[in-house]
Amino acid sequence: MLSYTTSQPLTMGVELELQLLHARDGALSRGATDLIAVVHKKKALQPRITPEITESMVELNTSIHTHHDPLLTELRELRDALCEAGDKLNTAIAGGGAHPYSVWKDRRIYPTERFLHTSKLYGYLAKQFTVFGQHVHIGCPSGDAAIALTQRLAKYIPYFIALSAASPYSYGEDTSFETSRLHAVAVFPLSGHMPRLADWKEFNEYFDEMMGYGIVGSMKDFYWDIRPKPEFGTVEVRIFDTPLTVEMAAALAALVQTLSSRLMKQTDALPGVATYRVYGYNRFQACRFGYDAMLIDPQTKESFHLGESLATLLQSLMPEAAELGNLKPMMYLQDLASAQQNGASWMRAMHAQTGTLEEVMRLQAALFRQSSQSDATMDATKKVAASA
Amino acid sequence: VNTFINFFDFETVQSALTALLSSIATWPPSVSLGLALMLGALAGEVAHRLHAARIYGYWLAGAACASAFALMAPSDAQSSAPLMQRFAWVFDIALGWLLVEAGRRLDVQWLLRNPALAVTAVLEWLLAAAGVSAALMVMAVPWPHALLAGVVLAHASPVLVHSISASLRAEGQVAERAMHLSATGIVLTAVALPVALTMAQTHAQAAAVSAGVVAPLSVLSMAQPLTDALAALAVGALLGALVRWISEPTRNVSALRSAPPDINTKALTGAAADKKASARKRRARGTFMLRGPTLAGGVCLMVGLAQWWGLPALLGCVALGWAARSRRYSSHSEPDDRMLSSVGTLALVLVFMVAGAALPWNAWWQHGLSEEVFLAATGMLFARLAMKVIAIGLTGSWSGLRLKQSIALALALQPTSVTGVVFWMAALTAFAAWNPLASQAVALALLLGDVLMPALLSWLLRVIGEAGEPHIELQTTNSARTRVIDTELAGAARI
Repeated sequence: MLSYTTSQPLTMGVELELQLLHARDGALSRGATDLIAVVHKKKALQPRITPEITESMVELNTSIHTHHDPLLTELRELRDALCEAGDKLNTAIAGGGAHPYSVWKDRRIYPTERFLHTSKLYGYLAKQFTVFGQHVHIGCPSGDAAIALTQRLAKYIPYFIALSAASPYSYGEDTSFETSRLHAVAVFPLSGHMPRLADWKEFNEYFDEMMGYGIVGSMKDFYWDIRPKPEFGTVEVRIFDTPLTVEMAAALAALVQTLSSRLMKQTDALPGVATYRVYGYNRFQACRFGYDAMLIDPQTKESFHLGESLATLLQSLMPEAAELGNLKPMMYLQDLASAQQNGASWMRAMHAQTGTLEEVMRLQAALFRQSSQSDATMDATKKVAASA
Repeated sequence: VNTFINFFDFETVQSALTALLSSIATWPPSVSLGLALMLGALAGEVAHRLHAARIYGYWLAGAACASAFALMAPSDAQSSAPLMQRFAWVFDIALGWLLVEAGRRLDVQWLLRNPALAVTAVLEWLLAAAGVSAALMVMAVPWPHALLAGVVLAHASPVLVHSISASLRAEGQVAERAMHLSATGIVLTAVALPVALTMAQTHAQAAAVSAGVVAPLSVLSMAQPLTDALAALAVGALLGALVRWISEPTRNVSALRSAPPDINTKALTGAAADKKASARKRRARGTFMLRGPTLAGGVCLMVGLAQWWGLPALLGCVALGWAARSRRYSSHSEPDDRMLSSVGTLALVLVFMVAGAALPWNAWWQHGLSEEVFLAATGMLFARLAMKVIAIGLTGSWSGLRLKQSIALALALQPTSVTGVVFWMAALTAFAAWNPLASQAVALALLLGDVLMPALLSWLLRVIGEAGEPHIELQTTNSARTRVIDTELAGAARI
């Protein structure tokens, strides 16, 4: 039986998986061990910057926050510490969901017991899993609340995909998808969505059954898009591609917090079977077409435009955003959605301007380490919001 | 039986081989070159089968050929020297190509971002030169002669470091820094060698006039080599920029790099749909194909112009490679990259064969090695190693290295092969009065380095964990199987 650690509702934390690049040419490097050794000279950073499954990635973990601004400040501090250490090692740090031209056979598993076990079990899939996501944790007061939130968030997955998509290239080619990262996740047997479960008790029965089969050993073995995280007392949204900037990462966390604030107040029935029947199709549409996806509404059985409905959703969330102090990031996301821009469109635009993916990666690293422009844009948005 | 014995009569065999070796110089150059390449490739494959670096095979093939000449045709007229001279231009271009490869990996921005690394680059070179010079001066070699040896042996060979790293698919701080420090080291040696030669020549002239009086150095005589070095760097950089301009599609990205547009910049909307975008992409694909020929042309031009204008070609080639830049990502997919890789291997075979053949085998076979020369050579190698350990140990932590990596980097900077031979030959040619003990000790140190260092470097990169995985670790058995079967057996036992 899993025990659920109670946490303060709507607190949030962010995990960002980041790409480690050769600063010279933008190719993925194998520098995680060296980078972590330099970063961990500062003891405060030891739990904040941790290894991931291959040597080409690191994970950045924030502490627990209640508001967007301190979260962003911490993300910037962690990013600066990481970039400073990277400068010593000629390692550039970049966001983005997948490296556009890396080859899985050149990756190397980070030598921890868990990662080596994963590599043994999954073979080449473990190296191919060198993809980069953002995980947002939202605090939930109880296991039942966590299960309910996990299920209620499921239908918003396409919006999350469209906003964060930042992996349009794979093996040096444009995939025509907005995000190709999710294909690397989808091949794992326990990926996709959590089964439809009524409450924490039912979840525990399911977990015990899977444990009994020997299929899972812990919650980490579930690669679901959204999963409860009982040891933290949170729901973890794992669908996002790592955004190209920490400002965008903080804005996405604010969106999940705002949306969760609304969903936690709902007392109606949990999403029915029909929601899960269209889940895979809607998810595919968002991965493939981004803002231009046509989603299926399982209730009305009609299709609707993702971009248009996202604009409506963001506008409708403004009262909750104002309560949580999230107006600034939400308006930033509104700007992006109205212009139909995300990391994928940025990468394609940079590729169009420079002609090479190598140059795109170098620009991506340069964009990640600078925050002034995003900050200025967001501040300007805030001023407009205040005057309005 | 008599015929059989006569056939293997040593004198008969020797005279037959002598005649054969003498006639090689008259063969068409392509036949000699073709045979040499086949021999080198075969020896490389044998070395590989014996789990040694292929370059051992290339080097040994060259050394064996030169030794055969030395043993069978000891007169100067019948030595391998005329044959080597015929192919000097091929060697120059091959070495130029490898130095361009080394230059392409050089990231000057890293040295600027991490000043500790730049300090390491200079310090390890200076201390190594001082250590080698001091080791010779202890053996009563005059200081300008010792200094010349110090300058020749101060650098690490970027050719060897690069080839071993590439063959092991090594990646990490030790491999990257070794490539950077060896590239900066060769620049420092190429600049310092003419200066040291001028000093040695001035000292020798003064000593001839008045024994024991150190002649004042002429500013003009020192300025000339420095001007040449700068000119070589400039020509190389210009040619590299030309190669890049022709073969790379990226234009005017410095402004983008200094301030990349934010994700929500409105201007981005139209950028991807820009009519010029598809033309740029098409051009990007097309220009890849030009990279091989333009780079080869650049190398030939650099080597030729350096000979024509009397500039240090090595320096120009490193600058050319640096300015032409690396494009790693297409290395597995683009046909021209596979071609570049083949040319690189061809160049490796050639330069290591020549490096093996260029050592003074004639003298060693005829006169042997004195104990003094052996002591001087080993003393220089130990002094060099100690100084590099000290220099990198002092700056390692500051530049972001762990202690284990610092020691490994100092060891990784020991190889001198190929470039060391080139500098040694240049010094010997320009300064015939070089102290015999110093020059012979340098040659022996190069030989010892050729024998020991490739193995040391390969071992080091494996031990430090930077060599690529030799093959995919295939887990053909099911790691979950044991647990499941145990459960079933336990269940069955209970029933």
